[in-house]
Amino acid sequence: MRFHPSFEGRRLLFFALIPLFWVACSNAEPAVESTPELVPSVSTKDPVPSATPWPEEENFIEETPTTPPTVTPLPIAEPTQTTSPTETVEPTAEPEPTSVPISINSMPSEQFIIMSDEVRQNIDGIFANGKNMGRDPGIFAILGDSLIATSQSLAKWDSDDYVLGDYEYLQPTIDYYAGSFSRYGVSVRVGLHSWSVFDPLWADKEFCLANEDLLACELRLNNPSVVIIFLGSNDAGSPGGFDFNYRQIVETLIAQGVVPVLATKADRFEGPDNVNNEIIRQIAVDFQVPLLEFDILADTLPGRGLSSDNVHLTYREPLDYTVPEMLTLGYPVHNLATLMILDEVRKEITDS
Amino acid sequence: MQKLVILIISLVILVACSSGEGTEPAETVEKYLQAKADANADVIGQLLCSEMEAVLERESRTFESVSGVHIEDMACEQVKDSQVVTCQGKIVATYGAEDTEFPLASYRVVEEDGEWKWCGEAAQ
Repeated sequence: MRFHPSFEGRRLLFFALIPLFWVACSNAEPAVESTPELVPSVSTKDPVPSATPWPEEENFIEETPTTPPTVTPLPIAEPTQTTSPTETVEPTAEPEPTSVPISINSMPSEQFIIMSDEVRQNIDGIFANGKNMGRDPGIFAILGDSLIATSQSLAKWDSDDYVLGDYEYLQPTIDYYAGSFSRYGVSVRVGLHSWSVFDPLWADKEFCLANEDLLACELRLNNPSVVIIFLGSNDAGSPGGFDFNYRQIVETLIAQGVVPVLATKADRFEGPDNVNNEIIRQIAVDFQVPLLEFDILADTLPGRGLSSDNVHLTYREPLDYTVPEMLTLGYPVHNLATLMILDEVRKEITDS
Repeated sequence: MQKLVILIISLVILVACSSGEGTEPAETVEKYLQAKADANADVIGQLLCSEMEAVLERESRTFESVSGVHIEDMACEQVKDSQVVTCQGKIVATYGAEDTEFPLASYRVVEEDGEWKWCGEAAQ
């Protein structure tokens, strides 16, 4: 027996289906309009990481609020607007002193500032390339983690709160790179490791473009001619990955006309084999770029200059190198050695 | 019998329409971000678009050496008639005793083989 719905039945069925279809298919549209509270939200209140928590320790003091790191990475002029090296104001025309103590704790600088003639030639080439690309010769940037994200670190050189003592000959370099020491740009982040350098998630969305990693972002905003790399303390368990990513960083910088300055570290976070420092050393050789051997210099310090967390460094105010104790502490020696290698790089690029 | 057929067809349409592409991209992004926070390489691999396969390891390891990684207040929404999903909320990672926050952003999605895939960030 066939089913023959009546006209009334068909009409009822037809009208019943219409709202059913309407309700069903209207759900296929994104519900953006129905949930107006869901708006794009990428604001961040803290564009620059604050210092990693420090251990409470006798010879370790709290950060001084009077010398904070740069809170806001300031966009710099377009590369085409950059001043040329000849336009950069040298602090003094006087000949720089030659008979100066170029050692720390009796360790000659050649042992912890690794810049062979080949490296110097390579610096000249990279710098010349960068000059053509409009890199600012008077600016350096930092790529680093919590070791450097503190006002106890290089930021001191941008304050008046230091006494160089026998290292007064470094003052021209402080003047030359004025402003760069305290500028913690978008490429300084607590917890940064080599994997995250190229992950756009780590780039500050307040300043960086979509899919732009923090290194590319910093080069665009700051336009440096030199980048010091302080990485390795957060890379554990994957030496192959660290090697791959670190090389990629160096390659990227060189291709962008930026002189990479590599640095070993005092800690053994990745393990007693010290593999990350070995990787950094090898990359410095492979790419013929400057290397700060803080790992070796740390041997001259009590406890290798490490604080109780065995990653960060010891410190004491004021930063006065006429006080012998300064050269027994991690950050003062780290700051001084970094300034010394910057001094060598500056002389090389300004002489070239 | 005819009534039954109409009813079945209606139900099919209902199911098809209600599970349409309106919600899947946002779900894909949320799953992806959760997998990234969890460092779940398998899920990341499943949800990563083909053009970004080369960065699978990077995506999987970005929160290694970190404890307590979690996402707070994640809510993702597809921007109408686009391949963009906008999220609010943040990933929070703990380094030592300090939290570092990674605000969520807008992300691009593409459909590959009938599946929505996460394909990097999108302009705001």
